[in-house]
Amino acid sequence: MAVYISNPNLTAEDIMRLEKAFGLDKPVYVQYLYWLAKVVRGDWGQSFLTHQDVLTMIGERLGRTAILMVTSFVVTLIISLALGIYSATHQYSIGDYIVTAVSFFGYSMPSFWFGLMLIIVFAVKFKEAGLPYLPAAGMYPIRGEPSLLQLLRHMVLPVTVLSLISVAKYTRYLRSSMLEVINEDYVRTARSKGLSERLILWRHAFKNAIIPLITLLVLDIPFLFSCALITEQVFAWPGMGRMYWEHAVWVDYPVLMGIILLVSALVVFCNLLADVSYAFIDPRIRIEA
Amino acid sequence: MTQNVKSPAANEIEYRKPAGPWQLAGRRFLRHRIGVASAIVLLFIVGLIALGPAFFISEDDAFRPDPLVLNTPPSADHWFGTDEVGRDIFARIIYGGRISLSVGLLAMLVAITVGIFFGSVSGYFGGAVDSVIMRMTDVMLSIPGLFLIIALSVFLGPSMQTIVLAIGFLNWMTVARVVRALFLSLKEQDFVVAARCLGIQDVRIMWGHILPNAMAPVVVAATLTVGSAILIETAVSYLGLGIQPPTPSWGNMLKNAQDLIWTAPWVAIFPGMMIFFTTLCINFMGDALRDALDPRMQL
Repeated sequence: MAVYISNPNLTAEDIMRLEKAFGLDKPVYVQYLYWLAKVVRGDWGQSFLTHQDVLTMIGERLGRTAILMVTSFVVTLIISLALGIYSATHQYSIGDYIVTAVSFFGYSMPSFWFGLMLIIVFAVKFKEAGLPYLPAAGMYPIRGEPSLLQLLRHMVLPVTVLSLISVAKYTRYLRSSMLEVINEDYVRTARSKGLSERLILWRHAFKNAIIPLITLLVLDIPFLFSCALITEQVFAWPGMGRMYWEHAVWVDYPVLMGIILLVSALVVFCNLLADVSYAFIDPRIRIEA
Repeated sequence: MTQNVKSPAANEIEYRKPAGPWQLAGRRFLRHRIGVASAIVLLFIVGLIALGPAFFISEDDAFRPDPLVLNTPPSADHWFGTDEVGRDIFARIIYGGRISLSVGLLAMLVAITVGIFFGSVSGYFGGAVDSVIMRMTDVMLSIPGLFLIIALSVFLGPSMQTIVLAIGFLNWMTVARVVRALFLSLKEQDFVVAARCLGIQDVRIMWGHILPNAMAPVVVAATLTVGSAILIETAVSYLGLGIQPPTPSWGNMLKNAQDLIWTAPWVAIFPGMMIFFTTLCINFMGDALRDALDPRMQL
């Protein structure tokens, strides 16, 4: 309303009329209840900025963010598993120190700066040097057709940035988890039974070490979402995170509230998923239940 | 003759105080080479940032646009180059550092204040209070903070106060948990029982007796919180919803730099490098502190 109030052409009556039309004359919690009732019915409101239906807008962009997030999730999983296991089995070796150092670096790295550095190296400098380069922004090239190959090419840098911090965190976690498990008695028993190291690793140690990691990964999905917000901004990826930011700058409350609702639903869903997957992976929980 | 034998009088015996727990921890910290190195680098950075404006950088350098030197690469005149309006980047980094570091420290203070309050109340009183506070902590831990911070800064207007409060209120949970765990164990100790027998009020016991013994993990958590607060603040400023230009912050310097990466990449390299190194040093130092203050580690 502040925007309208500063307009000298509107009289006080007009402003009151507008307030009534927007429902702003009612107290805040009543407005919230109105909004909630509409949301449940499927009407998420119209954006103040583009006057489009919020639900449609979110639907358009959701898929694009999902591509980034899912890919990044899978990449993170694979890399941190590989590095974590390697680091735990080769404890105190040079490789272990390197992995630990890289984890520390990744954990302290501002993701947007890392993205900018990657762009500078792989998009700007490579292009100047005449090497095959990666694109700096967007999902598809501006000219030319949107093909899967182009999508993949455009995805490389954002996914790398998105995965780095997660990989750093989970590698450390998996390393300490594996180390804990490897020192357990049942592993010592298996070793004294004469099982090969590899079998011990995969059948006993790995499965036990991975249980807390999976739940952690699933619970962190909403935070992956907020990292995606920053990454989408760096790489001009037209996803939901970017939309949140674009509309935040314009104080477009319907869109913001819609996205926050979605994120909250995601949080609840991920918690549920984490519980279910924990029961699924750990047979002990299944039997107890 | 007994006259010639002088026995030392009581007040001449050298009395050496045994090292207290903090001195012991300090010694353990000094053995951690990376931690010490990081602390020194951090001290250097902070010193540069705090004392620079007083001695060799003027506010002029950081704020005055100079159209004659737009986008120049690093040179003898301008150590880090100039930005798109001609301001010296090195000077802006120093001034931006003041802002970013202050936000980090202030947000940390807010976070540990709230965290200590909730953690101590929760740990000391237990029961229903504990459950309620822990549920609240869990809820807040599961919310991805960036969305809330952006929404808050949109709602309240982007400024330093908003950012400090927002980051503080979204980062107190780890501190609270740590404090609560310690309170739960310290609560059963004899000195608390004695204090209660003496009739000292609960609040005084909590904050005057138990809390001073619980400060060690709080110090570690505080250090790491500063690091993450700096990262969050720079991220939000990068998005344009934190510290507003022309006030420099390492984050919003990167925001302007993004358009320039094709022509003037140094504008993007240096501020981010500062963020990275500062956070790295803080994290290394925090890790070393954690090792030093952990009573179970044998070093």
